[in-house]
Parts: sequence; C-alpha cells; structure tokens
Amino acid sequence: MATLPEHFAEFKESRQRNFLRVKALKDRGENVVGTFCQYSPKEIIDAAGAYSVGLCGKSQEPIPLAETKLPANLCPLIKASYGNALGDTCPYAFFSDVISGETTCDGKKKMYRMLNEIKPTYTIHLPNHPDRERSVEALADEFREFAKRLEEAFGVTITDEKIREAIKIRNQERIQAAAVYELGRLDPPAITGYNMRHIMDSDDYYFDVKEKYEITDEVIRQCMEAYNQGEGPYKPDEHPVRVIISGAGLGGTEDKTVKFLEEAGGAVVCYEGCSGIVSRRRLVEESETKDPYLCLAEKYLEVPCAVMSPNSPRFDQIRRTIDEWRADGLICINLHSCHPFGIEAYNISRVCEEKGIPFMHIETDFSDSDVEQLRTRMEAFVELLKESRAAKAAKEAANG
Amino acid sequence: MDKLVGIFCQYTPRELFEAAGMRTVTLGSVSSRNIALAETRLPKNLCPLVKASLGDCMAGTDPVYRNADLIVGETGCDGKKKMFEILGDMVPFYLIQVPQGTDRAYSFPMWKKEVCMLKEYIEKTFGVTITDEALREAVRRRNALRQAKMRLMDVQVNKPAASAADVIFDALMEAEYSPDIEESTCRLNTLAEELETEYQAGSRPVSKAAPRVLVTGCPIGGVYAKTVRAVEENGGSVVCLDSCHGIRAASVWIDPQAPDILEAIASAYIQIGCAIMDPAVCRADQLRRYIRKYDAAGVLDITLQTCHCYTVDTYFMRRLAEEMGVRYLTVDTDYQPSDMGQLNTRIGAFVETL
Repeated sequence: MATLPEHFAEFKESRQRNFLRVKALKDRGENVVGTFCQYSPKEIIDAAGAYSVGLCGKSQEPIPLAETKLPANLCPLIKASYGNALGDTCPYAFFSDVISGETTCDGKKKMYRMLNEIKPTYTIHLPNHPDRERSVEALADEFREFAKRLEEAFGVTITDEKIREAIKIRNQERIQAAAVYELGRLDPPAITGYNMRHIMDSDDYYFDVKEKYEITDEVIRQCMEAYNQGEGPYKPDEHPVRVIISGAGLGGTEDKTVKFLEEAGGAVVCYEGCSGIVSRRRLVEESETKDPYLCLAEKYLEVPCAVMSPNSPRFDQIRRTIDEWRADGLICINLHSCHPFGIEAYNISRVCEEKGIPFMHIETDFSDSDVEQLRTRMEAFVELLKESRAAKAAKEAANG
Repeated sequence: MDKLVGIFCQYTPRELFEAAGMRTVTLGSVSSRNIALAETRLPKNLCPLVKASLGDCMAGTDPVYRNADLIVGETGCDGKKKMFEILGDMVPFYLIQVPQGTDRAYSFPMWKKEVCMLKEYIEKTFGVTITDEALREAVRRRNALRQAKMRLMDVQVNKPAASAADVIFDALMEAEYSPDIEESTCRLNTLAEELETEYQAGSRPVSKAAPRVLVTGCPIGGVYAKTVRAVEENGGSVVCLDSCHGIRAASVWIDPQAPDILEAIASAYIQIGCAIMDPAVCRADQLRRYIRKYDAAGVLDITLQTCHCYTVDTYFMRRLAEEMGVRYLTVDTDYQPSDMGQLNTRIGAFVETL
C-alpha cells in the first residue's frame, strides 16, 4: 500500500480527495509520471504504460517554503512547483515515480536539478532554435533517451508500435481540444473563456485519457445544444468584444484575469501559446513506417513556446489566430520574472500593432496583491476595445 | 579595413571569424546609462547586462554597434536569447545555438553542427574561404592570448598574492574589448612578467594576512567596484576571477594540430564552465579545481539580478563550498549604485569571518 504524507490530515478536503485518487492508482500498482509542460511527450509515457499527472504549482501556499532554497525573485510557478515537492503538499508530485522536466527556461532548468534530489527527475533538453534542420535530431535523441529512462525505471519495453498507438490516441485528444476552441470562434461564443480554461486544465482531474475524452465530448455537445437553443453564455444578439489570451503559466491566475475580463463584458474567445489553438491543431504524423521518435520531435519542435528563438513561427500563428477568431484585442499574460514570455511580449505587441488591434501586457503571480489593480485594468481594456470596435465600424461606414 | 564582429558570450568560437580575416570584440554592456531606454522595450525586472546591452544598441552611440559588420548572439541564457530577437532587427545579426548541456548524446553533434554552420555562414555572407590552415593559425593566436591571461592570473597563486585584483581585472577587460589579439597578448605577458619580477624581488603589494577570496558567478564588469573591489578594500585579497572574462574562458586550450580542427574548436568551447548548462558539471569541476589551485578561503558568488541560471545555481555552489570547507557568500546585484553601502557591509563582514 502506498503511504500518505505526514500532514495529510491538515489538508483541505479537495486536496485530500486528490491524494486519495492518486493513491488508488498507486495501490493498483500503476506507474505515475509527473509532467510540467506541453513539451512532455505524453505518447512515450503512455507507451510505457504509465499515467501522466500535471505538477505545475499554481498557488501561493508552497512558495515561502521554496524560497528557503530558491531565490525569491523567480517565477512563482517554479517556486510553487518545487515547494510542493519539498513540502509534500501536492498529491501528484508525492505519488510520482518519475518526474519529466524540460529545459523550457533557465529557472525551470536549474530548479529540476534540485527537484532531482527529491524525486528522480529526467530533464528533457529542448533545442533553442525552431529550425528543423538545426534542431529536430537533437530533440528526437532526447525523446529516445527519455524512453530509455522510463524503460529502466518501470522495467518495461517501449516499442515503436506502442508509441504509434499512443500517437493516435493523443491526436484524438488534440482534435477534441481544438474543438473546444472552435466554440469560441462563434459570435457570440458558445463558451466563456473561463470555462474553456477549466476544460483545458481538466488533466488535473482525470488521469484516464478515455474518461477525460468522453467527459469533454459531453461538455462540447452540451455547449452546442445550449447555443443552438439560444441559451449559451451570451444572448444570441449579444456580441461581446473578443479577446485572445496569449502567454504561459495561466493556471492559477485565471480568477483575476480571464474572469475579470469576462465580468467586465469582454469574451475570451481563444488561447494562444503552448496549450493554445495552434498547438492543438498541429497533430503528430501518424505513420506506420517513419521513426515515431522523429514524428514526435517534428511536432514538439513546433509547440509555440518562447523558449524558441527566433520565434517568428509563433508570430505567424498569432496573426492567423487573430484573423480566424476575429479578435478585437490580445492580452499577453506572463508570470513574474519569466524572461522568455516577458521579453517576447514586445514582439507580440508589434504583431498586434500591425494587425491594428489593442494589446495589453500583464505580469502577475499567484498572490492576491494585484487583484484590484487587475480588475481595473481589465475593465479599462474592455472599454478600450469597445471604442476601438466602434471607431473601426464608423470608419468602414464612412468608406462606404 | 578588416571586418569587425561584435560577440556577446564566450561560447562563440572567435577563431572562425579570425580565420576569415575578421576581428572580434566583446559586447555586453557594463554601464547603466542606457538601461532606462532599454526598459521601453524590455521588462524592468531583468538582468542589467541584458538591458544595458540592448540600450546601448538602441542609443546608437556605441561604435561597435555602429560599425560592426556582424553581431553574433548565442542562446546562452533566456534574457539574452530573447533580447537578441529585438536587437537582431536593428543590426546584422547571427544566432548560435548552444546546447542545454554537455553530457547528452545530442549535445556534441548539435554543437559541432552549429560550429560548421557558422563557418558556412561566414563564408557565404562575406564571400571568403576559411581554410583549415587559417583556422589552425587563428587557434594558435587565441591560445597565446588565453595563455597570457592564464599566466597573468597565475601570479595570484603566490602567497600572498602578487597583485591587487584591480591591476589584473583592468588588463583582462582591456584585452576583452580590444580587436588586436597580438597587442593584447603582448601587453598581458609584459604585465605578468613585471608582476613576477617584482614579486621575486621582494615586492609584496598584498598583505600576508589578507584572506584569499575566489570570485565566481555572472559577468562582473558592471558591478566590479561594489563587489570585487569591496573585498580588497575590506582587507581581503581576490586571488581568482572565475568569470566569463577571467579564468572561465581563458582556460580553454585548443590543439592547433588536431586532425579535425573544427571538431577540436567545438569540443574546447563546449567545456566552458557556465551555469547555463544542465547539469553545470564543468562549472562545478572548474570551481573545485580553482579553489584548490588558488587556495581560496572563501568564495564570493556574484549574481546579476534575475539571472536565474546563476541565482538558482547558488544552491549547488554553496554546497560545493561547504563540502570543500571554504566559506561562501552570494550577493545579487545590478548596475545601480543604490546597494553599494549594503554590499560593502556584507562583503566586509564576510572577509571578517575569513
């Protein structure tokens, strides 16, 4: 039997429940791999017969403990993730047999070395350059090495066949996730951005891929049914200003960003970034003959993340998403001291300028200190978008 | 006139440019004067070196940015890597991809490919041919410069050290910013010889009682006065500069007669002990070696604000120092003078404990 952490009794009920759910997996003898980001090749974890669970820290609570070992001026996600492992406060980290990290940023890259002292952590090295010729072989090599580590850890054999099978299942999951974003393409949207976010985060609640797929399918069906009956989140003649959220590490901040924007009368219609629409649309090649590690590397090299430089492919994706989702504005959200996304915001602001839509950059963390400030900024942004939409309409009318 | 190339980071294999008859100088600003300008495009909470460098480029006053035929960046740290995407729009720019670590199966093949691609890029862009012979010659010249730097730094192995850190640091920085390798080599050798001769003649510029401190961490050009100098003003003696412009890159040696000279260049540069690597084994190994060689009693780990590679690595460096039985202090700072008094107090107290 798997044992629970020492302070289990002090945890809130919801967390206790999650602990017990992962414990049930462990009691069944299942292997669990903790993952952090979209670069983590779930297909390989599936092929190893293991469950993947998300470990990203999304709350303020474990941060003070983490700061006893990490610099205070560091991204809150990194601190919270490490703090959770250090203090046994996260059920998923606690029950993970192996952790898969990725070199998405300097902070994480270095933190994973420390995490490795608590749990066996394999850090997949990502290339820095998005050019296939320069980078794809290196990433494929890293995926092969990761597979080898899982084979050793779990005493299993990962065959190409098993990976090919996992690729098909995970592609279905991607197609479904893209369908969730399609709900936002409607005008008015058939789903709120806040609920979209919630569905995207459901990895945290459902370990079983099939179970998650069925539940999500039902949610999409219900959304469309309500929409067709004129009972969607917006009235049929309501046309809220449409916003794309871009950035990373949005989990843990949506209550003071997405929610406030929608309370102020805006609608988040799509997300851009690692878990955004373009990432979901890009499937892994399903080939019975090609090296599956290469198929995976080609796909994962295209995850829209600021780790890549120069990141012009991401800017093209943003242009296309703005057009397709007919966005009135774009908000870049990143966590405090996240250099890759923080710096890239400047070039995204230029893309928005070129597309003629307002842009706002928000840097935040998991604390409550900026809640009221963010509410005000969101309200002001919605006002700005309404004015900009009206001005565009007036201009079009004048041009006949 | 020879073509001029501005480089940012020690991982750039300068020999490739020099073999093409070009000259290389180091960029990477050490002054705060254009930081406010850079903050119009960059986050404020960012490493001062990254901000100051973009600021210098934006201001258009720096002669290297104005005159360079090429600026070369590297994917070393997040801050620089992403800043280059903004800088790269303003100047002729080339990006070298540095692997995330040295010990993986992919690391060396990727790095060697990057070095080969750089060679091809130079040849194509500037219409030149880089021969193996020219590369070997460039390696010899750079080896001589690196050895001159090592010789100069070696005077500090003496007990007490043979020089104040200022003298050595100024000479190293001058060499870093000079495009003339031979002249720099000559100057460094002359200075080393002077210091050696004076020491042998009985000159003791450093007190025998001065505790010996090794400095490690981020590039220190912009924070030298309030950190390294503070050690010596408080009675310490800085015996080793384990930083980019100090021993970290100067310890590189390349065999000019290696059968595959490009491979030899690539394999030497990848061993530079920077904290960007995962794991940073080369950094740790070198630090251990230098603590012993220079017989340091304390390690001062200087980090620039939000340089996550180095700030997080302090966790491992502190442990390394403890394991070796030497004292350890880390200071996190930037290019502003506001923390000067505080740093002086902390560093003074540190020297006191030694």
